Amino acid sequence: MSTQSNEAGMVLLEVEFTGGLELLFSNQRKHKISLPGSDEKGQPATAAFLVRYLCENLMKDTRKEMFVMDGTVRPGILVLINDADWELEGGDLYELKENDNFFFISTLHGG
Amino acid sequence: MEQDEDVDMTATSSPSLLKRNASNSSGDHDSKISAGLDQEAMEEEESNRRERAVMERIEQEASAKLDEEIRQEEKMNRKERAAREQLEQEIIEDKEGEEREQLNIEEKEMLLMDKAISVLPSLPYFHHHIISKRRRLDGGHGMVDDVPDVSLFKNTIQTLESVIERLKSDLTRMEAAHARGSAELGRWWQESKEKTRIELKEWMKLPSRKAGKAEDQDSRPSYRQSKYQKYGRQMCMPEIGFDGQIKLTKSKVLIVGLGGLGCPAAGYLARAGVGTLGLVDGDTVETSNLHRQTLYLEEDVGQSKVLTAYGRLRQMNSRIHYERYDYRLTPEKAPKLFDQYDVILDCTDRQSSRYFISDAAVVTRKPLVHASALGTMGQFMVLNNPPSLIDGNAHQGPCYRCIFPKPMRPENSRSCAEAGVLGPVVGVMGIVMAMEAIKLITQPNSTPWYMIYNAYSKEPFKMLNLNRKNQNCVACSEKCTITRELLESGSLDYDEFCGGRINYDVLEDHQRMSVRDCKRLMDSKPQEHVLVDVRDKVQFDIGHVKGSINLPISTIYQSPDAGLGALGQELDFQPTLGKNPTVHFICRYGNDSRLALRQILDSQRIREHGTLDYGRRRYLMGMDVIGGYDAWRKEIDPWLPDY
Ligand SMILES: [Zn+2]
Repeated sequence: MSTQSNEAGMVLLEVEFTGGLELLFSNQRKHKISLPGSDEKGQPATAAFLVRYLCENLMKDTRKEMFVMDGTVRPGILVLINDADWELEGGDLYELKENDNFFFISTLHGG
Repeated sequence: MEQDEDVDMTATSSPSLLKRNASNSSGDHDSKISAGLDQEAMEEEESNRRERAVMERIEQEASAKLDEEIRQEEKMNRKERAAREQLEQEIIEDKEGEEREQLNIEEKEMLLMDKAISVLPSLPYFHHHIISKRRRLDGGHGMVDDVPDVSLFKNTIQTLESVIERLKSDLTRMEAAHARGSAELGRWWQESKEKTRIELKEWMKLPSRKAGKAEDQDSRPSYRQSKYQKYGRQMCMPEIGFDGQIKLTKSKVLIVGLGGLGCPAAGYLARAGVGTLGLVDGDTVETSNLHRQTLYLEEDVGQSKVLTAYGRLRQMNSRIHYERYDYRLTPEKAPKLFDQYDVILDCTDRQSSRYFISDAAVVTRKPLVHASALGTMGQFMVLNNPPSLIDGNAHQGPCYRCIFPKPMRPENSRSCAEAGVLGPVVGVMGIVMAMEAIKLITQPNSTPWYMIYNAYSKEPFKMLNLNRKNQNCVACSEKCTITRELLESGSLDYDEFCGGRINYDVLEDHQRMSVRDCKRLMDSKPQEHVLVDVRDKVQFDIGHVKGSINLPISTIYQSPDAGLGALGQELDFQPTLGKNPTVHFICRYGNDSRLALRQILDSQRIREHGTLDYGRRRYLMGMDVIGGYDAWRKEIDPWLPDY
């Protein structure tokens, strides 16, 4: 299945950060973003592309390692795509669809 | 009793009356002999004598028979009296037994019932016998010697039949578990035993005794009655019920960590009447705990958390058993401790303990209720439910490592001390933990789930489907490498696994100074030194060193160069500063300030120019203040808020 993008070749998504990740993204939890429907190599944009895109374009903090590690989200971050565990949706390889909701949550240890 | 003795009196007096009548009739015959002596008379005499002899013999026999009857009757009465006395004795013993029962808790009942169950073969007869006796004593119809009450006996047998039917289905289930080598076997065996105990106990309940005696009983509520009163409101819930309450009474729950999660969880579980509550923590109560750790009061500061919690919980429910473990749990100790419990609650606050508690729950095959909280957010999971097995189980729940195979680095993980936490947020999570523990005990087949709570979100509770059992999990899959022996050997270093501590050692010694030295510099040459506080604005507003200015470390992280720009702009408004001031850095404890200075020294601007040139001034980068705001408060200005 190819990535569903709008006429301008862009995909409109909603991303949400919680569990402290919002601090890396201008201390704002919800973001509406628009990104290219295909990646650097012209392939349909995947979740992996989204993570790279967020890191380069939306994240102001210099500490990139707080969000990514080895080309994917760092350990301790759970990702939900439209409220479903992304592991069950193909993880990195999931192809973006218009109006998808991505939920990034950093696990907590406090008690 | 009185009436029965009256009947006995009449029975003993009647035989003597009969004897007197017999001797009178023999006197009449003697007077007839002296009236005539002829042959006929002699023959008649002879015939009469014979007749008399026969009569006498008959009378003697009748008398003997009567005597025998009297003896039999007396014997019966003695038997009756003995039986009655025995019954009275039994009643007294029953009464004493009940009083003992009131003093001792359920162990005694269990022991007695176990004894009763061990004599199962004679149970139907015993049951019938004691019920009949009791009925007869109450003036109703009961069994007379060997003549049973057939309908009562039928009822007895039917009850036993239903127990046996249930035992058969239990056996089928246990056989299946045995064939699979499942650890469920043990649990089902316990469940079956428990059901049998409850059913037999219900069945053995005796009918009420005489009205007077029943009244006596009601005026003094029994132990059982007080228990109904205590747990009635939850027992009448269909989700709990009588059986559920018995399960709770038998359950053993271990709470690891008595902080913001452990306090409310322990409180609710104690009140719900779990059998045993284990409490583990090595910490003492601190003032900064009081806003969220609900078992402690102001007067408890400095006291052991476990011992203080124990005292408070006993005031909530004194009839359950508590185990106190006044130490910090280690991976080596965890398996042996978990063995003794049915459900484990992870209420700790460090990533390393999260991992080893999960591993220990897996090797001991215990369901794990896991929660955490920070700031305005909480997370909740039920892990290892149903518990994992070495031999594999298609339906087993994920463990912590299934969901988080790799730990996150310590710099990504903040503690409550650093990030703060709201009391009700962590309280909500602790209470959800208590609820889930109750569900696990009363309805063990609940499915694993994951929930997050965001107090300030439009959708505060969010359920996530995280049922991701990792088939390659190092802890709970068939390919597992973490074993009980390994855990207990202490050779697994969980702190190292979790990345150890953050490296704050990023400066040279000459780049750091004490609070006293800093104070001296600021006082002696106020135009030449300026102090920059890198805490966030909220903390800065609570309290700060006089004259310091705020530049949150998050701003520096976002871009050290932009941060320097913001700093220059801010300092430009300081009229008292000289031409070439030196900038020093302070934070709460002297950790973040080092990282902040390192970031700034490594920024492009400082690397290229060595200084920050802004407006009319040239700023030099100075030193980090050892111990930060906290040390300043302790050594220089005790009036600063100790937040
Ligand atoms: Zn696992």
